[in-house]
Amino acid sequence: MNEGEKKAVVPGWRKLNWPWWDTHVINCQMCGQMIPRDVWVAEDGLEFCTEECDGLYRTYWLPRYGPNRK
Amino acid sequence: MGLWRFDARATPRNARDLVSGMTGTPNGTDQVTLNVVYNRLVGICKEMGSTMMRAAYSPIFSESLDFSCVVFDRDGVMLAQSEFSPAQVGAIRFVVKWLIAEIGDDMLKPGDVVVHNDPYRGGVHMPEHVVIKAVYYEGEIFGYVANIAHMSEIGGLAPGGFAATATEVYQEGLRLPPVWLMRGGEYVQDIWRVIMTNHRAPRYSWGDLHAMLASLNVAERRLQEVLETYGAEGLSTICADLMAHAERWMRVEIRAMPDGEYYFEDSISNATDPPEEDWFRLRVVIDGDGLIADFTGSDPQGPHVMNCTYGVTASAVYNAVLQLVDNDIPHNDGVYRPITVIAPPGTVVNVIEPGASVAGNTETHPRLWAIVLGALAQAVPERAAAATGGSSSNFLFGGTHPDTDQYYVHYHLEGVGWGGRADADGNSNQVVPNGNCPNTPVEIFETRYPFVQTAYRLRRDSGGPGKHRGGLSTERIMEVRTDDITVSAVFNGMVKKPRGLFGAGGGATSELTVRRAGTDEFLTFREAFGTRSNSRFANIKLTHGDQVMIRTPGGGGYGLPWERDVELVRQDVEEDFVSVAVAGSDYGVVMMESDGEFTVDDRATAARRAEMLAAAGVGDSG
Repeated sequence: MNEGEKKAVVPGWRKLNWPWWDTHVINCQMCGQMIPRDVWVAEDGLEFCTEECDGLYRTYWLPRYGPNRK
Repeated sequence: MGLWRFDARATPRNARDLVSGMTGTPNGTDQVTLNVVYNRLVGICKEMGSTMMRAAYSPIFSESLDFSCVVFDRDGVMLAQSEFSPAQVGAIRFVVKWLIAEIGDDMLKPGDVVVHNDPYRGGVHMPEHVVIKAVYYEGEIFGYVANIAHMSEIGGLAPGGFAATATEVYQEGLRLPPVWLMRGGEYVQDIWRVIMTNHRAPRYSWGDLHAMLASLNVAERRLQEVLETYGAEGLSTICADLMAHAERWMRVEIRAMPDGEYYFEDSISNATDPPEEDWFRLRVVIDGDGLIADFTGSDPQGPHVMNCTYGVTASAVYNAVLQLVDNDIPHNDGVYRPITVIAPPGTVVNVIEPGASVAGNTETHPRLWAIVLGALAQAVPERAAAATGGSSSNFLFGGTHPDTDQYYVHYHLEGVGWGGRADADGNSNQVVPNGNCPNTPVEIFETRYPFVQTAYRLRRDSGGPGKHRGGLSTERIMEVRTDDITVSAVFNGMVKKPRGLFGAGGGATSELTVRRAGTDEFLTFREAFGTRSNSRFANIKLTHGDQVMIRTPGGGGYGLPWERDVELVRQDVEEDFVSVAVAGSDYGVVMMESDGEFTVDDRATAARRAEMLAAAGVGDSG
């Protein structure tokens, strides 16, 4: 996770809308899975494959690896 | 298949867990119907496999069965799969769902088949091609049938689909994003021409792709027959109950493991001078009925072929967990839902473009599998096994056959020793746990390719010493019978021994050597040809009379070697599995040979074992 990439946004689902010739893929910033079409954008701008991964990021990942980890 | 049998090993913390986990279904489907439908779906997958095996042109399909056949619902949720190759079990769960999401099911028409082999889209490596076909019932898509299979040649920098020295995906062969192979049952000729142009052995690709198409057609018909019995809504309801049942069963199994965080790390090595290493770090978190496999902290992806795709890493985790739980849990999407895999993108466990990854599926998967078991051995030591040889020992070759003037290629893999476990020795000469693939029989090998096998045998002393010995690996010597053949290889386990568990020793390391025609000595490929690595090289030219010797890695042992039953050690020596010298040095069993008979010196053995006990805690764990 790159803390520097965060920016405040309204959380919600966004549809990837790339031109037909663009074949690159993006990955969930929590679990690493490919995001094929619909991306969950969290309030801090991080992109997840599901809302569950957003939750996992806050309840599991941040406490262990984030800046305020114990 | 006893869907409702319950293994006594799974001992939930209280009976309520067992009852709530195993009775009732959300939609009230009775147990008999669940069993019947599940076995019909699995039967479809198995018939797909039989079709593949009989229709294929390449031994990698017909002999090694390196493919998986799966049935999905309309959302790409996996309903059933056959147990051909565990390397693909996790990947295919994602690859079809993502493919459908990416292209949109509204883009599909009856008779369409879509193909891709993109490792960044859920595939396991470039040779594995996934084909899917929508199955229609009463004018609507009910679901999909899919097949993921290892094609023997895909172009790229080396024959055989294994560009062993690749540093980027672009060197690994022809990469296809999701594209239509068939539209309305007709060839999409442009894409076929692209494939046939880029593969070195297009005749094989043609035949093997048609074997895949045939398997889809068989599955389509069979699924429609099931739909005739139950209707679309009825079958969907039963499948939802099947998945709920599998999920609850897996949750009961996980709940039976002690809560906690279990850390394990290990590496894979490139046999360069000095060796290069990539490290994998895993934290398994068991919390109630859920399990997280978190690879955060693993090394960044490297400029080599050992990187794993997300599909490989997920498959390795699922494969390891499934080894520890009841064999009869239905293999559908539900069984995987309690397991969360965290694989940070850009690392060795989740390669991103343009990283190479062809050997992640064959070499790194078994290492990840062993790492998961290493972590979970702390939670359930009685169920875990020591490390396997952990290398498919990939040996690839190609050229123009002297008898036919046709270009041929072959992807050859070997068996290894598996790790010892709490109640048994490791299996000998068995393909890596991610493979399930028989290798090509000598008769087929010699009929189709210009090699003659001069030796193929178990390797004495290759199993890691332990109370339960690691399985033995093999030694094969092949002699070239053509003037020009190009060979490549990707091996693991050449530098570090496969680990033993609980004080046992590691298995033997792998070796790959060559004896040039007219010489007496087997040399490493670095010594003979100046390759950078002895375990990863590409496009070496061999000629008539050259011999290649493949020695695969053995399995790690389980438990203290000097606790192994003396009679079992004597039998191992008698069978030539263990030498007299190793029986004494590693097992503390002092033996004598007279006229081919082996006897144990009881007094010397007791003294030797007492010495070893005094030095307890000292053991080679690889």
